[in-house]
Amino acid sequence: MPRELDLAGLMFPTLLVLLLIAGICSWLIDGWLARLNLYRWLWFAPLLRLSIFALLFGVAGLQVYR
Amino acid sequence: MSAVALKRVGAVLQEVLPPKGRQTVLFIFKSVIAALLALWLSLRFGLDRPSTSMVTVFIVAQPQSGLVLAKAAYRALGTLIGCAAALVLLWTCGSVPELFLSFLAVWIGLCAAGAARFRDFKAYAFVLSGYTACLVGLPAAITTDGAFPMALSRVSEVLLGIFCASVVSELIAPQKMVPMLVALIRGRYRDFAEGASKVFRGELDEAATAALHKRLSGEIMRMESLRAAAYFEDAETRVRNVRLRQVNGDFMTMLTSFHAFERLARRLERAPVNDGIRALRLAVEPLAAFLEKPAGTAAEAAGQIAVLERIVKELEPLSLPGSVAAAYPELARDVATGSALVQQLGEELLQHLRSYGALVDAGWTADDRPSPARFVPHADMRTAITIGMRVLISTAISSIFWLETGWPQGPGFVLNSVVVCCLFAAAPRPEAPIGQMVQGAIISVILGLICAMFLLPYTTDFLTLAVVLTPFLVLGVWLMSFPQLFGVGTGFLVFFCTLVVPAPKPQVDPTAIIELGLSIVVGFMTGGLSFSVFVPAGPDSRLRRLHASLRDQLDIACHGSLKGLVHRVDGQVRDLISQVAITPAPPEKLGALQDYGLDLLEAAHAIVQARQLVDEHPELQSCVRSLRDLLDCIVECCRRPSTAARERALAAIESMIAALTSGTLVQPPTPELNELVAALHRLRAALVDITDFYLTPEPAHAA
Repeated sequence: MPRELDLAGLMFPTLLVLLLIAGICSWLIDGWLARLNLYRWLWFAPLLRLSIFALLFGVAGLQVYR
Repeated sequence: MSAVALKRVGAVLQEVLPPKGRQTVLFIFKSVIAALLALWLSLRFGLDRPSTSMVTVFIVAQPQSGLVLAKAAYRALGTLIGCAAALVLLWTCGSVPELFLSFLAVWIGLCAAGAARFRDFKAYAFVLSGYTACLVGLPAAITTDGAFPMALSRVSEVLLGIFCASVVSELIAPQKMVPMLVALIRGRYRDFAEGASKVFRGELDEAATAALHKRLSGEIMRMESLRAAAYFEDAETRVRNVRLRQVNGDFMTMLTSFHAFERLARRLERAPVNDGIRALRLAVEPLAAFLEKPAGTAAEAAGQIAVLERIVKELEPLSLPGSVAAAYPELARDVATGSALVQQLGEELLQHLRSYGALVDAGWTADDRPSPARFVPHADMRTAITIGMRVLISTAISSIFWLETGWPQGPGFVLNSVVVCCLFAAAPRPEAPIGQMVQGAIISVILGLICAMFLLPYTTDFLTLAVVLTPFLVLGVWLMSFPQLFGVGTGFLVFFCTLVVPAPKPQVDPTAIIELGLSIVVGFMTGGLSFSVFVPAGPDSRLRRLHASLRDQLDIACHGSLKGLVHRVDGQVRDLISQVAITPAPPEKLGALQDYGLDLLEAAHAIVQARQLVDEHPELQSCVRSLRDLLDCIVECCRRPSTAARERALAAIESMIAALTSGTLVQPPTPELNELVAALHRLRAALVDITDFYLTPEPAHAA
């Protein structure tokens, strides 16, 4: 993937877009886990949330900067 | 080793500090850590202004994680929209500064109107989108080149700050709001049930009942704001969101009928014979007995549903000895109202118990009702538009001043006046928070100068910078932790960071700090001035506006679309009543207006009920016309209150009741017909009470 997106002549960092997408995805996964009642079995939900986000954003970022 | 030491420090702190102090220390610790983390990361990333990230951390700083996340989410949203708006405006009319600035002023006006209209967290997104558009657009009004990189860096800085604040508040000793929400729902139901059971039996006097009612109404608002914040904090709350809204809506409906009951009981107590009140107490006794042992948790509530269902099915209508009914027709009418009211109370209790019990599990079940009308704390459109106009005018004037004088700090000056106008757009008494912000700004200029001249030169790397900044930051957050000094603390931190925190290439210049500080303070004062000059925000005009909005709700009840109407009107009126409560005016004035709102709510309920009955039952079709005429009379009575209009409305109700009971309108009599008659009785009773207070013609000298 290119490091910068070309938006009508303006260069736009891909990472910023990926950040937003990763945020939205982890938000959706979070709700999905709660609907399956999985949070009953977890010790520290915020840590899982952060980890999911870090995973998604990390994987997406690796596609750009590799 | 260090973990053990940390634990020991924690144990010592626990012993030394009272619980409140512990909270404060934790809040200060978390905020400062988050701010330093944001500073370090933005210096590492080489962002243009690391101060923005720090400021963001402090702006969203709250003791509870849910509040931080909610504020952070809306701040991010507002920043993105604001940047986009500024760029669009620059692309389309950036070449002509005057044109660009006027469009920008219109945009800010729109945002301020939105901020005034939505009184929950969404207001914050509106403020931010206006403010960010200014921040990105104003410097670009003169030279357009830098706008896009500036917008990008602004977005990155804000997102970084939000990220740090959220992560720290969630990961380090999170202070959850969900337990508060759960405790609120449980405690509220218990309080209601115990109070209601006493009121049903006549064991509570008028003052105590009024106090109970006021407290429970307040909890409706509190639950709404807790729910809105917990939504961001906890995925399980998010999944249950619809049901939580439903519980709150059902609670409101139940409370309104409860209020109607209280008033009816009082009226019956004043009656010349006590047969009426005795019949009422007898009829409601099964409900009183049921409420004596309220469910403590959602699971218990789910278990009680079957019991209550049986009780409600067996509720009996009130009976009055034939001779008494003949002698006192007024009493007979009240008793008929009472029968319907007790039945309705039972059904609403059941409804609330069902939605309360449904909170037990997170998954969807087949019997989930469609989402009710949303309860959004709204200000009325009129207020929102006047506030938007005010901000538009003041932005335009300060922009003209900037363009005419060519003041180099002009953008900062305009920006700060906009901030003030937007942030406090809907505050009941904007002078107080603005004054606090100005105080904070002044302190920040003084301390900022000291820090920049005597301390900053000694910093060599991030560690020394952090050591130098920490005492000031601790001071600011400490100020924030006092509710009455919150504004001072926030103002101080925001401007201190803006003034002092170095860019990647530091250039400490005392004159620049003074210039910048001057633009901040003058901008604030200009913004503050606009509140007192354009559309004054005094308590009297505010009460007048709220009164008018309350009256409009009756109009909505008469003519609004029926879908979810009860919840909508309920939410609106209760929200307006809560806005009345925070107006700085003498308590007896507020009390009168609040009572007026409750009476109105009762009338609105009766109206909606009558409309629903006529709408749903084809055999009542013949009443459509007369009901419409009746509603027109009531609307007229609201719009132009006068004794004549009120008499006309009451006469219209009487004649419709007479037509219904004599059988000239509908043949043969059905249970729905009786319900309709009862609803009309209730409407009449409510209207009589309202007219007692307000719908008399204004005395001549009032004009």
